[in-house]
Amino acid sequence: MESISDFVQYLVSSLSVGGLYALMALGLVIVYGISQLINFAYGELIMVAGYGLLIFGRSWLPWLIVAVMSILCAIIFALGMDQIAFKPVRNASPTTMLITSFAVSTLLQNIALLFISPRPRAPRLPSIFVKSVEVVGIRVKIVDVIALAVSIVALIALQIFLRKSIVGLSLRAAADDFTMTRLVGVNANKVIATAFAISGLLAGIVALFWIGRIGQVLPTVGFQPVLIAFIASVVGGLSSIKGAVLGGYILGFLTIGLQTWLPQDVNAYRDAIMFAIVIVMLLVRPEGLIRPAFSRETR
Amino acid sequence: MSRTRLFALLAAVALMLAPAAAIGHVTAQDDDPIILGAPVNLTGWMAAYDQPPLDGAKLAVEKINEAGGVLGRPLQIIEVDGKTDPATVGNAALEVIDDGAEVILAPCDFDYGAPASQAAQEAGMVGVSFCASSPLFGSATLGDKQFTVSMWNQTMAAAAAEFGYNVKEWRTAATIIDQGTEYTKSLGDFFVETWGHLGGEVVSEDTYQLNDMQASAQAQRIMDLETPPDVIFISANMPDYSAIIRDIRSAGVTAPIMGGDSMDTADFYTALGSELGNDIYISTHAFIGAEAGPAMEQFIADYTAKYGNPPEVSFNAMGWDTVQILANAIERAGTTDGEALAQAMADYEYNLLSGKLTWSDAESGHIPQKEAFIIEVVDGQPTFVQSLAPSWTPGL
Amino acid sequence: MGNISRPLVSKWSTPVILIGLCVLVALIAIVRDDAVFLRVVTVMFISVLLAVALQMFMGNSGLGSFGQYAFVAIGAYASLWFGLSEQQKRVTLPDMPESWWIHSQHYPFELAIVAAMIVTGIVGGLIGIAFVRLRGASFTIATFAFLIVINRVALQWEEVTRGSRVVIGVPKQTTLWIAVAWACLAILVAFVFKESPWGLKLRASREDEDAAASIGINVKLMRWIAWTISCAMSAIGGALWAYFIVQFTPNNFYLHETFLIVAMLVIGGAASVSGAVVGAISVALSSEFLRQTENWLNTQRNDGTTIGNLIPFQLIGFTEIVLAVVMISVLILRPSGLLGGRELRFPRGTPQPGVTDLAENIDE
Repeated sequence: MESISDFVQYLVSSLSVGGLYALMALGLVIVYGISQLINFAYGELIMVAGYGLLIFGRSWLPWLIVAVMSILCAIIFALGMDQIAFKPVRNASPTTMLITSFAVSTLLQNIALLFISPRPRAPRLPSIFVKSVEVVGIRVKIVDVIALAVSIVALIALQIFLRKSIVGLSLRAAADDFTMTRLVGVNANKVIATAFAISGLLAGIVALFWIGRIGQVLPTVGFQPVLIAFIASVVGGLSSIKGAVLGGYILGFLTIGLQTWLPQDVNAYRDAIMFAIVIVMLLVRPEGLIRPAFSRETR
Repeated sequence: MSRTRLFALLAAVALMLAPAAAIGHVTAQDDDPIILGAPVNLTGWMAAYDQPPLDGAKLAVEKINEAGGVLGRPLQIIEVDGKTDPATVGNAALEVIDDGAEVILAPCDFDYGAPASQAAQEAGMVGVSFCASSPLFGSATLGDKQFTVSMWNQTMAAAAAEFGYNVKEWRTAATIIDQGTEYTKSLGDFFVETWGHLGGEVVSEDTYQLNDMQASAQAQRIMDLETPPDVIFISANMPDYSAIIRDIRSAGVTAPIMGGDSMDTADFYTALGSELGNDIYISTHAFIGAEAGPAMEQFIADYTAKYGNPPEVSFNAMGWDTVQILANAIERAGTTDGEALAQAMADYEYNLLSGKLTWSDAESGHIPQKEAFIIEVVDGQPTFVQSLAPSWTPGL
Repeated sequence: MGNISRPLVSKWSTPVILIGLCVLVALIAIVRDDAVFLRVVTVMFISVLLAVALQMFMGNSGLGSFGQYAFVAIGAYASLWFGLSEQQKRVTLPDMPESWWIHSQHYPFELAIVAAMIVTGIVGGLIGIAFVRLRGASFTIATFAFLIVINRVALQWEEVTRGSRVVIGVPKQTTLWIAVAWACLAILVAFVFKESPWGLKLRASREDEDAAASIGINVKLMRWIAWTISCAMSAIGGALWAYFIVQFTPNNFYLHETFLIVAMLVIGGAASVSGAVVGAISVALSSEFLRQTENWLNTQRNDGTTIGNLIPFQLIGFTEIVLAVVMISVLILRPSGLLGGRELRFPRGTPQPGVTDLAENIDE
């Protein structure tokens, strides 16, 4: 009995952490699928939304409005970074784009360091983030249930958007064959900007849950989510939206499972093992667990 | 590459070398200020630890100068940014020495403080870290003129253990120790060692991986214990501390929690709020509040007058203390000469905002014998419990 | 690439100029006799070496690596295994079992560097067998993942690295001239490799991998050779740095450092050895110049001088911001770097045609 409830608790915890990880991975993959850019600066979008929570939260505005404004900030920064830094290097190699995103990430972090504070700051957060309920002996954090629900809703909404709307269709087409999509007259810049906007939106949502977990925001707050998104999307499939979500959940189960069952001294090597898996995945199955619709060579 | 471009390049190199050369040497005279060189980190993540004591130190300099200075000379702090990079800290130390520094104020951490202290030692000067708590920070590793004003991690952990065992009469402890940094690992190990020495039992030892920001598995392990532990000792850094405690408290773990000085920041209390901010005990350097005595009350008033806001962390007081120690020791030594000053520093009992302090002599490592302050978080607010000099510290 | 017809003297003028440049900067440092500047320049030469090592792989193969500092770290720690006496190891690496063979190994500094280079070269070579199969962004992600793996392992494996604790008790042995000498040697190696048949083949594969393979070039082998030499050279940089800074942890070989070296290479121009050298020197010296300006302005402000009163707030941290902005600008406006992929040469003989840059050519 004890062990069954333990196992159910494990499933619940893993699902809720996995939901958050899946959201992180989605934001990275949506841009990669279209522009082949692995956006290092994705973490700084999370940071921007986090500082939005801090700065707008000082006002009298209700928290939900503050949250929406913070997400908007992340979207604006996502569009801004596309226009200013990534658009001009769009035709360069993936390596050049990667280096550019590395530079953008460093720039934004240092701006936050200089103009806000190097110290962790505590934004105003509603107490829902630390509330939990007990259902038949299983304790569930309310915010985890919300994260799980949001990740599922986001995934479905994204799927519908990609399948039904014109912009969505061109996004999908572009993800499959960018050159061809341009040739048939789709405005490439608009498509990519849309992808960045969605990425910013997801980063903003992730920020709410991530900062809500930590209770504090600091310049480097976005780095861990990027690493998580990295692992999840390489494992799940860098060009596949379903793959990213799958990767997020796998990572959630692994993180908590290893912490629970791996001997403590081996657990210290957990991150090393995860990244070794990333390397192995790239070598043996570069397209990830789930292949994109029209499998292309990953390059 | 044409000839002109090559020459342009060489000219550019020459230009880069030129301006720096203009900043020349300064030689101290009798009525010139005594310069305290501060090669500390004003940018990068270490700024969170180095800026607060620097602010406290500047306040102390201001007050001492108003009262006539030291040996009839005013004090002056020259700060150069070490940029949270050990090589740059070393450069900055040489730079402030070049600018006439007679004493070095070193950053708050062994990794970043050691290059500054090493430069000080090589120049035959006294170097003092505001708040490095590593047991490496002393004369044994760095040389006979190097000190830290902070207690070492042994003392911090032992004070926590002794308070829990003797004052609170807790007997069983669970630990969650962040494996990512030396500070968190050694603090946790020293706690476990002292707890065992006192006769307490460690019922569960768990780890935490830096940056995980969730502790569901750790919370579950504690919930699974047959009887809940009397106390959970957590060793981590900020903001992980905040994330771990929020997570395990909201998972329903209600046992008291103890931790080290990196908890002691204003934004940690805000992050906990009145709901989670209860039954948490911190072993730290000082208590910012009137309960800690009239000297602290005066410090808070002066600090607020200078900076417009009250001190946020106990590290503010450590900066003040560091300058007070130096002023006192320079006055007694009659000089800033490294040999004499180091002798005078070690040879005194200080009564500081951060408690009583004596150093052992240079041969035995300048071990700081210092009181720790125990703070309890009540309704999301830090409250003063007591100061405590542990009667036994591991390895000392 | 059409450099067969060029006069020999012109071709070899590149390493001569670059080494001359290095020696010139070193001499200026000696003449100025300023302790801070001497340190800055010494570290700068280690950066020159690392930038050149990175250029040797990235510039010739067109693949981006974020994993160089993994090998710098291995080199730094390996130089401790070989360079410290048993007595010193008891202090510096107290968790290393004395029964280990490596515990009894003790060589002079220069030999320890070579030993570290060999160890790192072997590790790099083994990893390289797998890595050279990857292309484009996959390669870069894999190297980045490797950097993190090494960082985490180094932080935990206390027997060989002292874990997350700071390394202490390392004697300071790296001097300005030692750093200059190794940097110059690296320049020479990188240049010889670039002009060698291997280098030419690798550069051909950079322009068009499939075409190069179709004319019988073993692209993977060429990449592997460049990668392995580059790893071994990076180890020298790690060893020199370790014996200069003397206190460090695995976290000193991580993202910030990676960013700096990649920035140097990109700003100078990844496709030429001269680009790496010029990038490293100009970024290191201008960072130092910016840092001094920053300090000077802050001093002015604290002293309340006329200039100082114009500054609204304490200017801290703008060096990093300027560096990042310059790097993004270079990537956008001059993607082939300051030197545009060309080598510095004495203006004799015909200008070299056809050497184009990294950014323009990988993906086309």
